[in-house]
Amino acid sequence: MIDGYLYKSPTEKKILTVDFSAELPSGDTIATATTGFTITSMAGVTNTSMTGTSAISSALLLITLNADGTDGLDYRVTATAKMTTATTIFDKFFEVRVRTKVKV
Amino acid sequence: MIYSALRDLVRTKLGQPDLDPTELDLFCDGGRHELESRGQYYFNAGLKDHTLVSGEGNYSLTSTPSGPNASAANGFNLTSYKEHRSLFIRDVAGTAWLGLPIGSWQSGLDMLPTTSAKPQMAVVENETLWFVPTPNAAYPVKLLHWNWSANPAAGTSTDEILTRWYMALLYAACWVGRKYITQDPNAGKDFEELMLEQVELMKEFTNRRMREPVNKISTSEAATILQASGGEK
Repeated sequence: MIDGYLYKSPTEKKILTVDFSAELPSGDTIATATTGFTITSMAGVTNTSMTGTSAISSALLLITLNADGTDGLDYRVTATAKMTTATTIFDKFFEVRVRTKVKV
Repeated sequence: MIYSALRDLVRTKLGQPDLDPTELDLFCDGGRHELESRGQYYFNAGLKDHTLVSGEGNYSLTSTPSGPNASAANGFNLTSYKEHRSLFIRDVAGTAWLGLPIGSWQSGLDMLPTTSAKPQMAVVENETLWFVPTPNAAYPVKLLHWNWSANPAAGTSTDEILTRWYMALLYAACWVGRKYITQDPNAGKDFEELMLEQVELMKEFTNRRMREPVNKISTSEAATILQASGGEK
């Protein structure tokens, strides 16, 4: 099951906001190390056509998706956050659909 | 239409834009299966050239070797094999293709000789093709058959159904999806009716494109056509 989806065109630069506040224990923070994201095809294969960067803002992981990606492809973005004190690690899965024509 | 466009439309028609991709692919794959289980279409047709192995009577249709005397040259390796259409054989040094009837085990056993010879008929048993009698030489054969097709692996790809018959696949996938989501066998009747209309169109077009008789032609008539066209389909 995916945690969310978004559409973007290959020329759009978009921010995917991932909220880990429900997972974050009281008083804990998201650790920089281990926290981040990966982008693969929906089949789990490594992709080279879509890139991005990420930053932590309180309980949010902000993933900036660059103006790239291949029209017609669906990408799986796996956002990972490690809790500093609890050291637990959470993953959230998103589908990014790159389209130039249909945007339903 | 590329595959990802169809997937987007199925999500939309089902009113589930966040549909899990695994379920979505299940609907699209299931829809294609519903279409192809209702008929044989021109884009499913295939022709396989093969050479029999002396002393080997049974051949896997879907993989390479099979059977007690299997050799590496044995199987037809038709991984998407669906059903047979016609079978032809020629002598090792000959040029004329002759139809080889595909019959039942009953008729095959009745004429089963004790020694190897040029096959006089064949029997299909699930995924195995038996030649009767067991060939005594490396006879060339041609198997006209039907394949299952599959949705493209990549969202950017397309195929004949997605290019020419995308409405059929859209309705079929929505029908499968609606039944799955509601767990009601009677759900999605509107999609089913629309799909069946498309199935009839595809069948009609297949009969026109493949010249109706080809689907019902006798093997000897087909052999004549094959020879007249230089031995190739």
